[in-house]
Amino acid sequence: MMNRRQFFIKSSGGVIASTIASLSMKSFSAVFDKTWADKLVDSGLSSKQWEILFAVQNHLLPSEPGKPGAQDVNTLSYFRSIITDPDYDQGDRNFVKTGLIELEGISIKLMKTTFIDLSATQREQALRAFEKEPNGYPWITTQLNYILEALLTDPLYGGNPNGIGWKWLEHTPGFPRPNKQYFDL
Amino acid sequence: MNYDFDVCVIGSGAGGGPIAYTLANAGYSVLVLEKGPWHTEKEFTKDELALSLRSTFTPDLRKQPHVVELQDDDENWNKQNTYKSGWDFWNGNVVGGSSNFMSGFFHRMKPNDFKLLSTYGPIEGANVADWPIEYSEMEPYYDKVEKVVGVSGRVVKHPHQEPRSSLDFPYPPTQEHPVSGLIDKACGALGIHAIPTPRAVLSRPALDRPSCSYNGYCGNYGCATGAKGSSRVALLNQAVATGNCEIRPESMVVKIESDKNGQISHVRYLNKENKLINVNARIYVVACQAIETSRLLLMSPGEKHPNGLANNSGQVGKNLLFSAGGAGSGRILYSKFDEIQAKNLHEFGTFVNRAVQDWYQIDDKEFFDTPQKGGTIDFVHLHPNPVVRSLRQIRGSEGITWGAPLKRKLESHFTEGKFLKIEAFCDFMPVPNCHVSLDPDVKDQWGLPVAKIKIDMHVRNLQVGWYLAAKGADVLRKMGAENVFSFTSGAPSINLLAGGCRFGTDPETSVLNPDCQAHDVENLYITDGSFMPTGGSVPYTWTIYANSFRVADKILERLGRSKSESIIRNVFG
Repeated sequence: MMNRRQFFIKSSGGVIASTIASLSMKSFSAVFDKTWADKLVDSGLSSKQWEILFAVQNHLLPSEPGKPGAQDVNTLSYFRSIITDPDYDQGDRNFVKTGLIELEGISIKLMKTTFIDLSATQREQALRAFEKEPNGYPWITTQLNYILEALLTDPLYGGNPNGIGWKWLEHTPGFPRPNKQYFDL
Repeated sequence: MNYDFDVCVIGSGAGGGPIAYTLANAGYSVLVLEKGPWHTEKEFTKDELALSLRSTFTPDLRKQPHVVELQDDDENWNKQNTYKSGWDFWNGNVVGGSSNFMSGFFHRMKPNDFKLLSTYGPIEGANVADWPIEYSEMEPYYDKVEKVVGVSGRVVKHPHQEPRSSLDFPYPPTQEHPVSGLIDKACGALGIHAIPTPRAVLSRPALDRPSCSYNGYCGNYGCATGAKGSSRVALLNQAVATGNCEIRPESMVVKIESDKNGQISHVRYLNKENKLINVNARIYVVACQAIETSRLLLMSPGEKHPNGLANNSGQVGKNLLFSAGGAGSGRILYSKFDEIQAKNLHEFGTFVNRAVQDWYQIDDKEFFDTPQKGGTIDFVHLHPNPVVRSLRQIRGSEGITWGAPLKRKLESHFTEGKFLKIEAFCDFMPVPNCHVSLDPDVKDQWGLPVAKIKIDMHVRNLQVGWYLAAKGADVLRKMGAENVFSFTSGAPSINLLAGGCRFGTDPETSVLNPDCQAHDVENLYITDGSFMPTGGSVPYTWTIYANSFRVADKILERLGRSKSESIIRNVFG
């Protein structure tokens, strides 16, 4: 079972890192290896749910010229490291899955198709409808929490490559910067 | 009787450090038991995920929660496990305790803080009491902390400057941000006194420690240079260097055992391997921070202490104190300044170092007919923590903000101005429904009952906090800040804890005598903030350090002063 620590070790210099980095250039379907999600049984999410999540993250923090969005700061791989950590609370893990199911249900109910195929306007409509549901507000807030972590925590954790989030917001990181992840202290 | 050690100290923070330092330097053998690991400067990097977003230096709440009991709008008391609530009262379970993570705003209490009841009279619903000692007895120890722990600052004249035995601080103030000059100017225009905030941070190399490196993340982060005066770096390292002090990290004390006479016989703790170990000493000092100190005593009943050690009066855990006050903020827009001034305001890493104590006593008929105790207003940078700051931007008036609107908010927040915060401190009134007990249901990872913290607060906290925060906001407005607001809150401070084992002269209403020795356990002293009947209108750490040095001298006296002095007396008569 891969825990968060092992994931970061692998992703910091391995094959997965380069796969994820390429997400910023291509659509999810172009780079998504179906076996990638199947191997992540610990996440509890299906391949399709990962794809929905990818779409949600990019809607919540879209890429703009010179202004990084979710895919530019590796939010999907960052979140993968969170949810596959054996220490991650099972209730929280279930909540991620339940939220994706609810959102997809809203999408099909309102727009008769999967969230993945929606236009930006329709995605906004679906997410705003979801926000009004009891699980919607905390689910979206939780996702934004991890998106902003990937945007602005130290690149050591797999997000914020080369400090692009910091540079965009003219933020000066403190020093010394970490050379070990917190769970290795 | 042979003892393993002369003194056993449980807890290594600001309450434990001065005891270990003083006794070890005097030649006595000291054991310090600390529940957490022993980290050093190299682990204290500026990692927001580690410090502010994960429980890296505090326990996993699934394994070690607290239970908080709060009253709802219908006045029913409800319990909540802090694992579920997401907030807790752990502040640093490592060698040096929470002093590793303090901001280091060091204000002394003032003479009237020691006699709140007799100066300002009783307050209905509050259990206010005078301290059994006066400021003059504490002053030499405040002075000692300045020199030994290292406090930087500059004494200036102002209406509530407390008496001092040293003319000025031993170390000059840390480098100051250009915004400090704007505060000075605004306060001057308002006819009030902006005073340099003393800080437990070295402004130059001293005491075998480097100076501050001005990395801008100071706040609640561990110090990467050793300039911040944590108990670990300022006192315990020196205590260990004497060869007389042993620190055992990852040692969780599970019970303090007492004998048939009611005195402590030994301490039982679990080491890293979960092996139960007994250790004994001539004198025991407990300093686990207020909540855990009361919990440990309550977890340690004995033949003479059926309700918990030192609790025959039923006072252990009572009169718990948090910090009361208010807060606020404003933004100084760079666009209001010329290019050079704006560039200066972008400066990163230096300190604001400004406080106002003009309203330490409030003589304002519009506020109250008679003079009332007020407090301290500190001005600080908004901490640079980028994730924490960005998360605040997702809150919108009509739902969550995301997408391009969120990105515009982030850009504005991070790039258009300098945020300045107000932190106002006033007395947290001791009230009957604010106390620590053992939860009957929830157990920690070792099967021990966790602390149940019942939290209530007096309306006076809000009145004074509101008044002070509004005064701070006036300063920000005078500076030309935009979006200025101030507020008060009844939410307890999670990092400023005191009370629970009040000191006093009456064993019926206090746990400790004026020397912080338990009334009914001669070989027990308590030296964290638990002893405080009231906490003053300042952060507590300087007073905890000073009092612990004071108690260390009492223990030293009891043991016969320094061992080297004893030898000289014996040899030369």
